[in-house]
Amino acid sequence: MTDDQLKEVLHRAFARPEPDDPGGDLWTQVAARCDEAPRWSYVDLGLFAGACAALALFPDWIWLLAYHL
Amino acid sequence: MQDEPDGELLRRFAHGDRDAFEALFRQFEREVYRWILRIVREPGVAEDALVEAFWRAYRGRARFDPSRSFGAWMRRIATNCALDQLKATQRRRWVSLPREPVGRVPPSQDSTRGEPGPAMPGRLTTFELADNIRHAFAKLPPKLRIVATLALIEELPHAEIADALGVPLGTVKSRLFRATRELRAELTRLGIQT
Repeated sequence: MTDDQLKEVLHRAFARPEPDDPGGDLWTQVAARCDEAPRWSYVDLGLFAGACAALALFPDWIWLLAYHL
Repeated sequence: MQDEPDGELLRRFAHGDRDAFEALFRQFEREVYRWILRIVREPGVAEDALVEAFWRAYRGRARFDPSRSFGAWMRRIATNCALDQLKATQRRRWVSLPREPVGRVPPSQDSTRGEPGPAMPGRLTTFELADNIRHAFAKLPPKLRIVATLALIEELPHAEIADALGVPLGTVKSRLFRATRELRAELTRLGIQT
């Protein structure tokens, strides 16, 4: 199968999705999302816990942390 | 690409003016939605990504330079949101059972839905063929899939894809090469002549 044939096969399999516009007014969702308090992800919590643990074990590393902040 | 909003509106947005943000949302909503839809190809998913994209834009407004193109900045954010949606979709698919190659049907049972493709042996029904191709495509890693979607299906210039993804042109080309190779391998595994 040549590249052109592969493209043709993909065009057959993937029709252009419809509709072309959002279903409703999404501004209310965006505005509500912007008003939400910041959420902590598991990655944030993990990093914070790791930093606390590292500082508890090696207090001198506070300078290293301060440098990166 | 939309006309660029005036500088005063962009400066107000960068300073956190909610009315300015809404005006920008109204102006760019459709363009951003259509862009995301071209990548994720599901209207519901595209709407979620749109909300996420504008929220990220609002959150990162202080980093926006009003002298630069808002449309280009927004497109890059939207592309990242679409990519995250592809990753989330793929994670959900991990729990589904892996597909085995579909058995071929005799040509006499071939579906009449659509014309058979030139490189297809004519033994899978058109529906099965399209389904298998979509499945093979969905198995591509999201970073390759997004490039393959934009380059092979949407046929966008590589430079435009690179700009939207924020990666060098060479990265787009290498990802496209890998995507094509993996796609061919998966189609072969599914019993489709490549």
